Amino acid sequence: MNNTLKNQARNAYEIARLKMASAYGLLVIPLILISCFTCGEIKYPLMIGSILFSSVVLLKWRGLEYGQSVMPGLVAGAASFIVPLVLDYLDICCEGNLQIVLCSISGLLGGLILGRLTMNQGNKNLKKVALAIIIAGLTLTLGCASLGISAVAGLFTALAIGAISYISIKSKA
Amino acid sequence: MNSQQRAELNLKMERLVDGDRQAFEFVFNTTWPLVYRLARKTVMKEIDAEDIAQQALMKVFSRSQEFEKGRDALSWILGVTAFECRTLRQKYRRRKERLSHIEEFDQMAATDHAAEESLIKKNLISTIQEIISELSPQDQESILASLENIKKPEHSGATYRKRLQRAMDRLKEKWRDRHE
Repeated sequence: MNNTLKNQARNAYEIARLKMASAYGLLVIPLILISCFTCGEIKYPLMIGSILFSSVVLLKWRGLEYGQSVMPGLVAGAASFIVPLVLDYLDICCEGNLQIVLCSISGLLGGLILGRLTMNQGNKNLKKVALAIIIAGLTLTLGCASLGISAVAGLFTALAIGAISYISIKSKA
Repeated sequence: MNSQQRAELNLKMERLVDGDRQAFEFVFNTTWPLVYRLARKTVMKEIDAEDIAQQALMKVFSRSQEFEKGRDALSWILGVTAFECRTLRQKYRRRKERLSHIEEFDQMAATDHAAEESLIKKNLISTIQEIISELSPQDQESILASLENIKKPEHSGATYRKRLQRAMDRLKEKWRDRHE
C-alpha cells in the first residue's frame, strides 16, 4: 500500500511541478506575439518561440540549477529584446550590416544584465550560466529573427562574452 | 519530532520545492505518519481516517510548489492537512446525510407500496362481500360454510358439493357482470 501511495504522491508532485513550469512558459507568449506583430513575419518568431517555450517549461520542471537558469535568462533577454525590435521597426539597421553591430550591442547589454542577475543569485554554477545564456539568447533571437542569421550569431557571441566577463570581473573583485 | 528532525524536514522541503527529487523519499517518509495521525484524530472511523489521510497527503504534494522558503515545513504540512481533513470530513458527512435521505425515501416508498396493496385488498373484499350479499340466502350460506370450512351435517357430501358449485357459478357470473 505504501509503495502505491508513494507513487501516487510522486505523480502529484510531478504534476504540480509541470503546472508551475507551464505558468513560467506563459511568460514567453507575449514576447512571441510582440515579435510576430513587429517583425512582419510569423514563421521565425513562432519557431523560435516554441523552442523557447519548450526549453523554459522543461528546465523549470527539471528544477535545481536547470530551473534557476530560466528567470535570469528570460529577464536579461526580455530587457534587451526591445532594442533590435525598435531598430527594425524604424528601418535604420539594414544599411551596411549595421544590424550585426546593433544586435551585438543588445546581446552585450543582455549579457551584462544576465551576469548581474546570476551573481545576485549567489550560485555561479557553469551549467546554470550556460543554460541562462541559451534562454536569454533565444529570447533575444525573437527580436532579431528578422535581421538574419549573422545578426543572431553576433547576438549570441556578445551575450556570452558580456555575461562571462561580468561574472569573472565581479568574482575577482 | 525533535528540533533536529524538524530542521532537516525544512531543508528537504526546500530542496523538494527546488526540484531535488532525492529529497522526496525523506519528505514522504516523514510526512505520511504525521498526516495519518492528524487524520486519525480528526475522524473517528479508522477506514475514513486512512482515506482522508491519503487524500490529504496527495494535497500536500500537489501543493508543494506553494511552500515558501524560510517557513516551518512541519507547520505548513499540518496546516494543509488540517484544512484538507476538515474539507473532506464535511464532504463525507454531507455524502452520508444524502445517503440517509435516500434510505428514508426508500422506506417511505416501501410503506406507500404496502398501503396501496392493503387498499387493493380491502376493495376486493368489500366488492366480494357486496356480490355475496346479492346472492340468495341459501347460496350465501353454502359459500360462507366453504370459506370457514364448515360442513352442514344435515346435507350429504354430494348434495353440499353440488349446492356449493351452483352458488360459486352464480357468484362468478355476478363478478363478471360487474367487471365487464
